[in-house]
Amino acid sequence: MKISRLTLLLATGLSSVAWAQNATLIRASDLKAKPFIDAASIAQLPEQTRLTVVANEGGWSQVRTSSGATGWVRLLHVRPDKQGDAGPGIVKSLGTLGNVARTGSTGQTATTGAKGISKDDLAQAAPNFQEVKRLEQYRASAKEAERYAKDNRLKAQEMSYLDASDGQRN
Amino acid sequence: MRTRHTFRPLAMALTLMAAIGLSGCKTMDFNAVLEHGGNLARSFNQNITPQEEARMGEESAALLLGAAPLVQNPGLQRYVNQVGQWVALQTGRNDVPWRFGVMDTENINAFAAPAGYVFITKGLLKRLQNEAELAGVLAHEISHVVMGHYVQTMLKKDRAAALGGLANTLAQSQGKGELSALVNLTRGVYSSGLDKEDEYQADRMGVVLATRAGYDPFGLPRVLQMYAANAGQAGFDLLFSTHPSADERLARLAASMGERFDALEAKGAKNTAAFSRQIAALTPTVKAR
Repeated sequence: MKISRLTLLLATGLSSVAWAQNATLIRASDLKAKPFIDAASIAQLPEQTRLTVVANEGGWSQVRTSSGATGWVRLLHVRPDKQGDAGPGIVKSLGTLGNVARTGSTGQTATTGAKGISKDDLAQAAPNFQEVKRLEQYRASAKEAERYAKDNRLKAQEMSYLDASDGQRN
Repeated sequence: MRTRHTFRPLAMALTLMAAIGLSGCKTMDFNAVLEHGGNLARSFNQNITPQEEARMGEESAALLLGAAPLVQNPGLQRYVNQVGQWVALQTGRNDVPWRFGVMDTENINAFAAPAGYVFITKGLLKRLQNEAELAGVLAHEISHVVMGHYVQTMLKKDRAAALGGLANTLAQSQGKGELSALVNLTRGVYSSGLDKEDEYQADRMGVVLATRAGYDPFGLPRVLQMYAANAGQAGFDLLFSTHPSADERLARLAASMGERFDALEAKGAKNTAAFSRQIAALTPTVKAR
C-alpha cells in the first residue's frame, strides 16, 4: 500500500515534489528569458542539448541547462527521457527513494487489484449495460455546455483543421 | 475498398474548410461551414444505419464499462460532460448524443466508441494538470467519433459481426446464451487499437477542436509529452500497445501545427483552479499537493 502510494506520487510528478524531468532538445532553439516569442534570448542552444525541464506552461517548457542557465524553450522542441532510460526521468531530491518505489512498481503491481483496462481485463470483461444506462443521467445539453463555457470565460474561436505533415488526408 | 473511397470527399471538404479558415473571410458563416463538414462526415458513415451505429456504440461502451465501471462521483461525471459537450459542439455534430464518462481504473487511457461515447480513465484524469489538457484528450476522442474511425475499423474487421449485433443482443437478452459476435469484435478492436493514421488524424483534429473551444492549444501536446516520459511504465500498457509512439505523435503534430498556434496560447484558457477542485475528490490519499 505504502509502495503503491509512493509510486503514484512519483509517477504523477506532483508539483510539490520538486518536479523535474531530464530531456533532450530536438531542435536548435533560443533560450528565452520569458515564455513569449518576442522575449529576450539568453542563449542559443544547439540540437541535442541535454536539459532538465522544471515546468511546462502552455506551449513552453522552463528548462535548466548543464551549465546552470535557466529559461524557456518551445514545448514541442523538447523530448523527455523515458523513465526507464539510463537517467531517471524524475530526478532531484528523490534519490534512492525513487529506486525503491520503482522496483516496487515493476510489472503490474501498481495497477492490478481493483478494476483495470488491460488486454486481459478486456478479454474477461462481460458487457455492463447497466453502467451504459447510468451514463445517460450525466449528459450535458448544448445549452448547459454553452452556459458552462460562458461561466468559465471560454470563448469559441475560428480555427481550421490541419493538414497532415506529409500532406496526406485532412 | 469502401473506406478509402469515401474518404476523398471528406478530405476535400476539410481542405476547403482549411482554405476558408485561412482566408479569414469575415462574412462567411463559420457555423454553416462546420455543419457542412458535419453533413459530409455523416454521409461518410452512411453505409450503416444510425441504429446499427448506436448498437455498435452501446456494445462497445458496455464492454469497456464491464472492464472498469464509472467512478461513483456524479459531480465529476457532470463536470467532464460539460467540458466534453462544449468541445464536441465545435465539431458541428449536434446530432450526436455525446456521452462522456470517467472510468474507475488507475490504468491510463481514454477511449471513444461509435455514436458519441467518450471515456477517460481516473488514472489519466489524475495525471492531468488543467482543463485544457482534459479538453485536448476529449477532443482527440471526439475526433475518432466524428471521423467514424471505430465504425470503419469494426466493419473492416468483421462486417457481419459488426452489423449482426442487433439480433445477437436480442438473443442474449432472452436467455443467457453465448456472447454476441459483436461483443467479441469490440473486444478485439479495443485490444488491438485503430490504424496509426487514425490516431495522427485525431491528434491534429483534437488540437484544433480544443483551440476552437477557447482552450490553450497545447493541452494535448503536453499530455503526449507526459506519455512520452512514461513509455514502458505500468498502467500505460494498453495505451502504448494500441497507439503509435508518443515521440512519433509529437513529431507529426509539431510538423502540422507549425507556428499557427503560437499567438493563441496566451489567451487560451486552462481553468487550472476549477479543474483542480473537480479532481480533488480523486486524490484524497495523496497529501503532498
